[in-house]
Amino acid sequence: MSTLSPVSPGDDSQVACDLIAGTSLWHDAWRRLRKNRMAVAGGIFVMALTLACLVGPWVVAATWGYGYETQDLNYGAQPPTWSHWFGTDFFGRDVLTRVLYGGRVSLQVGLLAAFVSATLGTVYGAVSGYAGGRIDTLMMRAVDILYALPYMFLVIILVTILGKNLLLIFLALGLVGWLMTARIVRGQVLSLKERDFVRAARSLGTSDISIVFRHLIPNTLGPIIVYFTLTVPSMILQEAFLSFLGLGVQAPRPSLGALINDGANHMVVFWWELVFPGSVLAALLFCLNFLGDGLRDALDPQMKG
Amino acid sequence: MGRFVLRRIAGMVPTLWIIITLSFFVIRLAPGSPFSAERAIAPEVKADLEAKYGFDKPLLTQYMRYMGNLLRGDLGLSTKYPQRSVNEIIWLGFPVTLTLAAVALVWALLLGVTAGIIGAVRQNTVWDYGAMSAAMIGISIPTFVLGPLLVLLFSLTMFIFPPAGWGTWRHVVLPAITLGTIRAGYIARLTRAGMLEVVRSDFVRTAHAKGLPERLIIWRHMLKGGMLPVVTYLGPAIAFMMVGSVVVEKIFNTPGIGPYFVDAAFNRDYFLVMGILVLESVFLLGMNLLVDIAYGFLDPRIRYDG
Repeated sequence: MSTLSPVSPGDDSQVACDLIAGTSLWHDAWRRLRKNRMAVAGGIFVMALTLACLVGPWVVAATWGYGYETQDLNYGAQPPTWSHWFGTDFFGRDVLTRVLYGGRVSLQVGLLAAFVSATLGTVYGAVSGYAGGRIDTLMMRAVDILYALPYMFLVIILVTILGKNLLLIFLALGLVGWLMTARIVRGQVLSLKERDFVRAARSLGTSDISIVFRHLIPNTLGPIIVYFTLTVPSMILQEAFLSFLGLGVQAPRPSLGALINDGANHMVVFWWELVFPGSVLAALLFCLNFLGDGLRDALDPQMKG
Repeated sequence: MGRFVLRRIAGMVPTLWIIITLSFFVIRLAPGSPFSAERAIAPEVKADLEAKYGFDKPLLTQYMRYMGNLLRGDLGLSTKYPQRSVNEIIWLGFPVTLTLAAVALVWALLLGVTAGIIGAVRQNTVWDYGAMSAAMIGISIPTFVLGPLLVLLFSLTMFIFPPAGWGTWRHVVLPAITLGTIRAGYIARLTRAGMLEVVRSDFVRTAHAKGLPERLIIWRHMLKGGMLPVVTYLGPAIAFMMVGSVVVEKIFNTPGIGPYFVDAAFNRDYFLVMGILVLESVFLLGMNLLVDIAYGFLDPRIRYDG
């Protein structure tokens, strides 16, 4: 049983694999990210805020017994007090609850719109880069033309046409936000597809679809994730921009942009209506941007800009 | 160089045509009409109005007519403001928006490039971290938060600048700061990154070896290289400012072109929406071309031949 069989080359590489298993791209990136204090702080704040937005309204409702549309017209607009941390608005509604609900909307729209745009851009860019030749030229020419569009103006038109619907807003934002991802992924795929592992896969008879989805896209995940995290705050910003113009989420459902618009209209007397939603939005964007920056440095040290 | 410019202008024509055609049909095929939002009007009056604007003709005929008028520089009539042509509205509003954007751009460049230089020259010191944190704060405060806050502080508390309106230089200050600060943040980061890129390049080392004073190296050699990404960003920056002006002009009640757009899109004021969109597109394409040309002057390695 215990004969000293010669160690096969396979076993050897197994040992080597175990030894270097700890230095994968993701492990390395995680280590670099953890060293970046600002990024970690940003991440923690984003998680805390997400948690607050998810359970906060419920806690407020359980403690003081009001929701985001509970009105108290006799109470009216009051500055912050112990039972209304962010004060109340003109209709006597609790601003804290409304800000937390608005934060929910912002995070939802940000994540979903960024997801839509990342998915679209990745598939489009990978197909374009892998196909190459005339198809690639044509597909990228289309991206160039779309890139020249004054696209926020188109989103405004789209929203006025499609109506104020949360689903449609993030779809409209996602549909116009995928261009940069497509360019990045295409660039990566162009260089990746000449590599040996892709040739090996092809010589084994792997189908094109399988090569694109199982071999090429997984290898571009780093830049995709980086760009995704940087897209989330810009999508949140654009949703708030639309809501500020009155094109976003329908009242009485609050969103940060709509709350800020309300606050700006009443700021002379009710400063808290502007200051609190405004600072929550700014803090959220600030932390998301720092987190995205940190992730970029960690995952893709060569990418700058 | 001349051939490059001509080729680029020729390349802009199909792009512009696609933009115009696409938006024409998207807007026209959308539900609603310019006259449905108003209180109920008699069918005869409505038919009259539709005949006046040519809406009774088939859509394709209208499209051909619109394109024909566009080539002659006629943007049509507004349905919301029946007394005024779209040309007139744009002629009054666009210079205001442009002035605002120009001042905002100067502010963004001054602030951003200065912060970027500080960050790059004093890399990894307190100065660098301070400048870059400030840039990140600038990036993270949306215009529609900054604008009302500035009004609250400088107009309603300290009474230094007027809160709204247009006319004197005092009216420009707050909206321009509001519009430009977020871009200053991006410009600061780009300047810093661009300068750090050239710090270790051969021509900077040569300059050091020649014994040039540090100040001269920064201003003459590093800054020129570091400006490349900033120049590239100017195109998008101006595009963002055009979008941002929609909100800023609403906050400060500036008589620019921005607020008209949202209004016109809501009221299905077809010709006004199209007119502003066409104008913005031409303007943006033109700016991008200028940026490409400027690029050639800044970086002698770029040649526009063929």
